Amino acid sequence: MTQTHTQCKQVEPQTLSQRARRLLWGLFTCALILVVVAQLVIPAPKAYFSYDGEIWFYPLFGLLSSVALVLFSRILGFLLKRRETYWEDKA
Amino acid sequence: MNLMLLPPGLILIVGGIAMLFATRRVRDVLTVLLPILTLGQIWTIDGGQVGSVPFLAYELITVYVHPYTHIFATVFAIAALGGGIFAMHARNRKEMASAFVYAGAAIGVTFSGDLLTFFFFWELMAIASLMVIWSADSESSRAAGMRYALMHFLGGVLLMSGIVAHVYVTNVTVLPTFQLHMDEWVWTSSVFLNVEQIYSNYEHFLNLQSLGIWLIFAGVLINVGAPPFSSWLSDAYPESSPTGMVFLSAFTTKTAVFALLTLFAGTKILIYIGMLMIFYGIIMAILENNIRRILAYSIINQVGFMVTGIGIGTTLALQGVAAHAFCHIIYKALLLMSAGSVLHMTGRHKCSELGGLWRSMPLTCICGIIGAMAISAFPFTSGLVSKSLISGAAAHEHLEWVWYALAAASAGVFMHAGIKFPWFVFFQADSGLRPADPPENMRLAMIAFAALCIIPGIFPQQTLYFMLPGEVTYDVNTPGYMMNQFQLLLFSGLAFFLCLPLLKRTPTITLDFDWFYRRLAKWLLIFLEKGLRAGYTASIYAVQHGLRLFIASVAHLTAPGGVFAETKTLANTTLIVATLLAGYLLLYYNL
Repeated sequence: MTQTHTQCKQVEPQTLSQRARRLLWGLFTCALILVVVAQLVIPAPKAYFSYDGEIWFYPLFGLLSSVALVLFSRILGFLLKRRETYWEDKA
Repeated sequence: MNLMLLPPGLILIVGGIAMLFATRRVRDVLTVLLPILTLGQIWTIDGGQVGSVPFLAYELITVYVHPYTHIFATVFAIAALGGGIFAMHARNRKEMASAFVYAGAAIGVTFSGDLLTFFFFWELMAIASLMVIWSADSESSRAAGMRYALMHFLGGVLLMSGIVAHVYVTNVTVLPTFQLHMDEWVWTSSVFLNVEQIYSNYEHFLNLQSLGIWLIFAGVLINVGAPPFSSWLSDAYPESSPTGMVFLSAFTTKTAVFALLTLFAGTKILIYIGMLMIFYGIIMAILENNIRRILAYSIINQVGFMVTGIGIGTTLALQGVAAHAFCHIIYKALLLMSAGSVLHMTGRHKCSELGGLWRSMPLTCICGIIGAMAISAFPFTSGLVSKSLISGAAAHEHLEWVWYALAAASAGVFMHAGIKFPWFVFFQADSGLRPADPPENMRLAMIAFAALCIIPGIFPQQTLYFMLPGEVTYDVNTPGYMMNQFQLLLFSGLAFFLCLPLLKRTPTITLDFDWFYRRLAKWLLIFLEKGLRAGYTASIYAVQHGLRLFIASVAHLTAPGGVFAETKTLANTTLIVATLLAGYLLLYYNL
């Protein structure tokens, strides 16, 4: 008999230890530094336009465009978010 | 009769209907056999017109191989196979039968050579997909299915109207490549339509033939999920069963992409529509709490990349569109399998109620992460080798702002699907839930599709590009290109973790364009009904009041003491009658 959600176990939630968090952040930071430093060794492809050939372009563009999207979504959220029972509530 | 002349989709359609009456074991065999047979037939049919049937005054071209038919039909068959294996445990024969008819109809569209056959399979898809949604058998799925039907039958009406107009003018039913009579100057002179110039060139833009083309265009855009007619996707798909949404994600939108690719390649307005879809999908997905709704918005986002590529219209762009459609169906199915497995095993679908599942669902977690990496276009995944063709085409055409927007969108995709989905479902704050990995068939389907997300990423020429017309010379698996992509994505990931307090999950919903017909139209109808009722009541009252007044005045005049009740002399009576007669005669002879 296949297990379904009615048989899903539940335990006390566990939190990640501080050490584990620091380790994960450390690994992530190393990865970030590595991909930037790699540009000094690996030749970049030919740039298409004015800025995409610069060493800072991809890291900064990835960071800033994502932050901009989050901020814009947050602002839009004030207008669009409603309680979960919105559609069931009487008009 | 040469069976190869039958549309390949018929195998799935007829087999799907047969599944309704088959035993469980036979159904399981058909689930695997039918897509494989379909794949076999697809690849034995060569290019050009192969089969046709006379119908009234027309010829229905039931089997025609367009340049992109093979790649689309192949992935549809693979999606049917994978989805079928994933859904095997569910024993929902209605859903499985509907899903296979749905897949068969989608393949039928890709092989249709004339507008009537195209329309037949298009509408069959709409009906079959509606059945898949309703197969979930819940109150919410029934309601969502009705709203889905409303939008899709609207699209069908627009499409049919366009076909009728086009055939009436041209007397040709063969699938053509349309020109939308939108000259370049309309789009380059301003961001918005130059309404004055369009008005002064009214007949050039809006004659009956171009009206037909516009109606066909509108009908296809509804199915592709272009805003504001996109909310059917995020509304209906998540209301289907955990297995149903895997099927739903594959066919409707990608068939519409095939239609745009075949009929409207190079139509510049599609670049703008595609851009809108991309960012709309990202932003709405960021706001969502329901994991399947996040993935539904992600479908709109990814289809936006394809629509943009169709708008660019060069060979490289169209190759990228077809490749991206192929890869997207696979990795989106994988993501939905992962989400569906979580829903199946926990009964929960909200990010705010999940977390920490990596501990007890490691396989589902890994497959979900692979799907997330593929959708984000990580190096060595299928997403990179397909999506890059579209952005490369934008670069080659010197569409600078399009290229920058696609790059920003790639970062956004990683945010809303690449990290968000696995983070909130499998990691983040532990929910305490410890479900096991799903049943064997679901695990098998996920593993197979995970492999299909990676292998084309490593060997694109041998596994993906060979299905495309012409040679693909754009090479993305170079160290420099991959390094740039890693930078873009990892720093987007950094932005996600820095903005995590702003992305906190809340038990809310997000309003979409369907608010206009679910709430505003309802208010208008209530207002109209109240107004009409009040008007009706008032008019009845006015008529009744008028009648009462008339009766009262007549009663007053004829009651004792009234003018008509008093006794008159003979002379007075004669005078009155003579006056009345004279007045009547005057009126009669003067009118």
